[in-house]
Amino acid sequence: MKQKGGVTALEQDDFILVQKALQGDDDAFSLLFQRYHSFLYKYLLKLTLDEDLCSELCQEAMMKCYVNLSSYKNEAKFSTWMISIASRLYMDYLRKQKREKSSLQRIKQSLSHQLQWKAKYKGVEWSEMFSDFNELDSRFRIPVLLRHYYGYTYDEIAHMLNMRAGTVKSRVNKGVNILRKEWKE
Amino acid sequence: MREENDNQSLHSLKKDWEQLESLASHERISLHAIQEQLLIQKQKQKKAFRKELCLFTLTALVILTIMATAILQIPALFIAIEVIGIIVAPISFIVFHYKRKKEMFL
Repeated sequence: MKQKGGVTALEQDDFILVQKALQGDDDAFSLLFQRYHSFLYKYLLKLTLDEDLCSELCQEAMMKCYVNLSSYKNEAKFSTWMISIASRLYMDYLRKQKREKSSLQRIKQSLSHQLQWKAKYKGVEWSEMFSDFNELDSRFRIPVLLRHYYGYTYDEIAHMLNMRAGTVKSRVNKGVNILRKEWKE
Repeated sequence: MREENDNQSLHSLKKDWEQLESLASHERISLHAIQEQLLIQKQKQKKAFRKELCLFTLTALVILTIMATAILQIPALFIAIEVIGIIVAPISFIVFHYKRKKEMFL
């Protein structure tokens, strides 16, 4: 339901809940987070490919949202703001992993055993592109996912990941180019 | 032609992502669970604040004691500390700032 100025009723409701939460109403924040929890969870699952890690990051993202709610400016949707926080948390997690392992050792990105088992049980088959995509560096993986699955604009992604729109565009193109090369081979 | 291939490949990738979403076993989180997590977080924050305050007070006391001793006993050492501080503080700030900025763009 779109209203004048392109603001939906849901977005307006989100704004009211944010205002209430900022005044210390924890119920309002809980309601707001509950509304977008599934969206956030599914986004993180596509990056982490691991349900346990995904839940952990989801919880961390919730706390970050709660603590930094005053910095939410209502310029973007609340869900977009949540995704930007979750993306940064995921990048921090990868950085920590790199430091703990070795800077030279590449972090292997593949489906967790639990998800592999579930996929096998449900008879899910993955395309070749899926494993190629998951092996991409997170610098390319995140912008490609946000652009080609969620349909965010380059400017929106730039705002989310705190980088220039030109950088986002080049990373998306480079990511797709890498995938294209893999597909050709 | 190339664009068509790309679109086809991205379409399969989208299908994979949708399949992955359907495998997720998570259920709708309850309001009670969220509120409980918020409560735990608040307690943690309180604890962290107290710990930080204690550390801050302790550090301030140590620094003040050292400075007072330096002023009264060895004025030359006091001046040296001040000069080094004036030079080192902005340099370390710039270094950390750029390091952080670089990390964010990675």
